[in-house]
Amino acid sequence: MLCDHLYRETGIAFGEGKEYYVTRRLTERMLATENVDFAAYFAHLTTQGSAERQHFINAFTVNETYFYREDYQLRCLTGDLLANCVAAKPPGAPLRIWSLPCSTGEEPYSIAIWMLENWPLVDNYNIEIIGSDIDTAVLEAARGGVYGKRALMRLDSRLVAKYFEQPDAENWRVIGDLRDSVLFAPVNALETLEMRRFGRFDVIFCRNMLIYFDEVSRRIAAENLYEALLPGGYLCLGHAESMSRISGIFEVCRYADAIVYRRPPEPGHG
Amino acid sequence: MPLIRKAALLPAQTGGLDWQVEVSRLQAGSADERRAAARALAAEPRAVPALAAALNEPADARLREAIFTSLATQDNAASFAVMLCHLRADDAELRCLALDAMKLMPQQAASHLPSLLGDTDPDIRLSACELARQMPPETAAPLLAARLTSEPQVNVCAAAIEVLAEIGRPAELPSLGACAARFPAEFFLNFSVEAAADQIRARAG
Repeated sequence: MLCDHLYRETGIAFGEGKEYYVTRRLTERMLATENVDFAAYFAHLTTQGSAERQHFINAFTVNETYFYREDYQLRCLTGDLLANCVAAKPPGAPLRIWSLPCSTGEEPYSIAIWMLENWPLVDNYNIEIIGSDIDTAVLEAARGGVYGKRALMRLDSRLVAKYFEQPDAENWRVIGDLRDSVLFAPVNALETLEMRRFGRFDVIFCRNMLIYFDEVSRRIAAENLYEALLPGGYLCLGHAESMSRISGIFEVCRYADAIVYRRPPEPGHG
Repeated sequence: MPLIRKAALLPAQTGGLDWQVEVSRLQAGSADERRAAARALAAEPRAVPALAAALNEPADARLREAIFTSLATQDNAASFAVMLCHLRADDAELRCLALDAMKLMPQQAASHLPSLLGDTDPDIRLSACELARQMPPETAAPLLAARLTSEPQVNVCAAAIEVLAEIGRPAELPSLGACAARFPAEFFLNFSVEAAADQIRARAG
C-alpha cells in the first residue's frame, strides 16, 4: 500500500529486494511524526493538505552526488552542444540549461563552473541555469551551497579556491555570485503542468532519474522532457541510461565525448 | 561574476482540463498542440475514441507515441482495445507502437494473452509471445508452454522458445521437448530448445 502510494506520488517503483530501504525510511518518518503504527501514519500522510506528503517524498529519494560527476558530458556540452544551440541565436539571447534532478546542487553548480572555465562565449549570452528536484529538502541545501570534502574530490585546488569559500575546516561554500546565478525550484518530472512552468530549454541534464521509474512513468517523463526542450535542444542522460529503450521521439546524437539525445529541429531551423 | 543570469519561472497554470477543447486541439491543432492535447487527454477516459481516431490519420511518429502513452496511462479495457486493433495494422510502425504500449499495461495484457496466443493470424501469435516476455513467469510461461504443444508455425514456436528461455521453469521442459519432437528436421529450432532448456535448468539450480 505504501509503495503504491509512493508510486502514485513520484513514479518511483520499489519492488522486491527494497524492503529494508523502504522499512528504514518509513520507520524514520513514523518516529518523526510520532505515529506508533502504520495505519495511523498512513492516515496522517494521506490527509488532504498534509505537510507530511513532502517529508515522505524527501525521505525516499536518493541524493548522493559530487562536483564534476560524469564530466565527459560537460566536455560534450562546451565542445559540441552549445555551438549548435547558439548557432541561430543573436548575442545576448537567453541560453537555458536545466539540471533535473539536481539533488543538493552539485550538478548545476558544476555546469556553471565548467562553462565559466571552458566556454569562451560564456559572456555573449544570457545564461540561465535552473536546478530542480522533487525533494524540497535537498533544494534548500542546494541554495545554501555548503559541501564537504568528498563532494569536491573531482575539483582541483585552483577551482576550489576560485569558486568556494571555507567557513570552517570541514566545509566549503559556493561563493555568493555563483549561488546567485542558479535558480533552484521543485518539480515532479511526471507532472506535465508543473514541468511547463519552467518553459523550454536548450540543454537538459537528467541523469539517473529515469532508472527509478517504471515503464509507463518513464514514457511520461520522456515526453515531458521532450516538451521542455526547444527544437534542436539536447537531453543528457546518465551513462547507464538509454532513451532508445524508453521512447523513439528523440534523435540519438553521437559526439566524441558522449551520446546525447536531441529534440529534432523544426524545418528551416538548425 | 556573476556571468550567469538568474532565471524566472512562468506562472502556474490553473484550472482543470477541458477535455473537449483538448479533443479539438488534437483534431485540428499544430503538431505541438496535437501532441500536447494527446498527452493532456491521458486523464480523460471519454477521450479514448478521439485518441483512437487520431491514430488512423497520417501522423508523425511523435504524435502516435504520445497517443499510445496516454492510452497506456488510462490502462482500461477501452484503451487496450485500441491497441488490439492496431496490432493488426498494415503499418509496421503502428503495430510496433501498439505492442510497446500493450507491454505497459500488464494486467490488461495478461487477460488477453490466451486469446492472442490462440489467434488465427500467426503474426498476432508472434506478437503475443513478445508480450508474454514482460509478464510474470507464473502467468506467461504455462501459456507459452501450452502453445508449443500445438503451434503449427515454426517461427511462432521459435519466438515462444526464446521467451521461455528467459522466463521458463522446469515445469515447461516437457513442452519444449515435445515441440522439438514435432519439428525433427528444423535444426535451428532443436538447437533453440536445447539452449532454452539449459538456461531453465541453470536457473533452477
